[in-house]
Amino acid sequence: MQLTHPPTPSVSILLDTLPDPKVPDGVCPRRARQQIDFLLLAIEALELGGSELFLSDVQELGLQDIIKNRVTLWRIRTTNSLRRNNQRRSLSLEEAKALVLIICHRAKRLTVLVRQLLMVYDQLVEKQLSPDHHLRLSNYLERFRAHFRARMNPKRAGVIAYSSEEKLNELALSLLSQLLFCTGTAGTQRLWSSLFDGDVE
Amino acid sequence: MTIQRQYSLPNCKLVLHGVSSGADTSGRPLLSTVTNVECYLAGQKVPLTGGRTFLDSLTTAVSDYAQSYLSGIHHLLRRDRRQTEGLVNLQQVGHNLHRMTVQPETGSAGTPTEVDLTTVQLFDLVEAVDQLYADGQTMPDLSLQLNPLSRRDVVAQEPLTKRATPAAIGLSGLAAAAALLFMLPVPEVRRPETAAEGTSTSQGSPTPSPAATGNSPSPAASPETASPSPTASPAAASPTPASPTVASPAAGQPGVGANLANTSSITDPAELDRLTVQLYDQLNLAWRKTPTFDGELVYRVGVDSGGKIVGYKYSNDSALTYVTDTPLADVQFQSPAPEAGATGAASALAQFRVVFKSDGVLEVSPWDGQPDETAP
Repeated sequence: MQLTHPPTPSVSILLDTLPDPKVPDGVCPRRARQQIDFLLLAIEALELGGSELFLSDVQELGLQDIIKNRVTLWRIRTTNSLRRNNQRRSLSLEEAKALVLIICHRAKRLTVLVRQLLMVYDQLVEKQLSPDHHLRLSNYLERFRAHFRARMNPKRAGVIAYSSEEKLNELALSLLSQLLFCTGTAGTQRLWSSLFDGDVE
Repeated sequence: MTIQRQYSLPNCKLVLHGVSSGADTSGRPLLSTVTNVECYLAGQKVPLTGGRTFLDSLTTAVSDYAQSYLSGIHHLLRRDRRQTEGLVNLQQVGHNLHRMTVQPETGSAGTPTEVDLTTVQLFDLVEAVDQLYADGQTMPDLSLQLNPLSRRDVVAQEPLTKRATPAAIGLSGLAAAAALLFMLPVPEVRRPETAAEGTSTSQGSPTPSPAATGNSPSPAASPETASPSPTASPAAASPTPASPTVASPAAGQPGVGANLANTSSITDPAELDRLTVQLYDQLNLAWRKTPTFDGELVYRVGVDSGGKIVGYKYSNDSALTYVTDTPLADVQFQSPAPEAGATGAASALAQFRVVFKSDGVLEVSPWDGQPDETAP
């Protein structure tokens, strides 16, 4: 007998490494939804074609049952309340886990770049230079700002807080550091747990 | 048999020296007792060293700090609750700089060591700790413990001003709504009056009630008449107990909204406890009327730091209808609104949920004890 499909890793095994937090109604709190979407945005700013790569990760990680296609991916990302096309639906814990797995999977692939950009930034700060002095870093920041402005609703207070270029750069850099922590041995567990700080019973 | 385990990363090397207690069965023996720990950090000539206490404190502090860094919410409280006094402490000192302070172990003389780590260096330290946690053959009793902070922990950490902000915003919204709804009915109530004037020319009657009753068939008229003229309200409100006239509670005590908006709320738990008891005693003593209602009357009551009731608001429909059954109806007159309004932002307020039950049971609890409805 010939197999037509390669065996896919079971969904449950990967998802089970992340415990269900005791959140009200069993759905993701607002800060978690926002944070997940921002981290995905940072990854898209780091590598071209990021959103296509997310979809290939879905296949690779065997998450097709949760994220069926790009529309589903778009829908669950727009549960971020700061989005222009905010979907007024909740993000289930299972969907959030799938996105966290994708974030950490991509972050691990990007470890070298993330480390390099952060070390460059440290050096620039030491020399009291602005991030624009490094091409790759300034590219990342520029693309992040563009993505952010294109997709977030400028009328929301949470977005107005990032109206200046410096504030957006700060956000982009802090997301970059968070991505670094996602690359670690326990990165997925650490990111997952941190999403629910202050929101569990 | 002495064993050495090493976790190396570009900016950090964690070395554990220890002994194996169990029988050596596999190729990699189990390190179960640690005798000495060395932590080499980039830029430091001398490693940080210590024993088991140091290792425990280092791993806990680093792990907790990593979680605070990821979520932006401090994990300090949880650590304080633990029995062991932390030898290692981490705090953010700059945008991308983290200061690790290591106290000398008890019994040994020395001064605290301070090391400044960049975010990448911090990550390497976290990674070394995580690799140690993940290593089943080294210190199996040390493993990664991640628990998100509970809502309670976070509330306690936030500064008072930050905690008071949402309440203040909410209350100023309430005040604005109260002001608007107070103003809205005023022009409308004159319409039936002038209509009555036009037809019957009874200009001499000062009370609006004849006009109101004259126009009563239209259901919209009754809640409107209720609010501007307090004398007419019991009469107008009682035939329509089902309609939640939002305007009248606001108009009933115009001082409440304004008061609550300008003041900070009392959030100290001890103070709230004291006020809860005081308010309960005050209301329980004054509540002498036999309940004529069924179910519960729920009120939101504002109390100043002296325990005096400065205002209240209806929280359900029957609470509005049967307010005269409760001592709140009398209490209100003891604290006139203008006086409270004049003091402005001077005194802080605490808000309570007061429930009168038809079986004579009185319940008083802090309003913030109720789960807040947050916007999705």
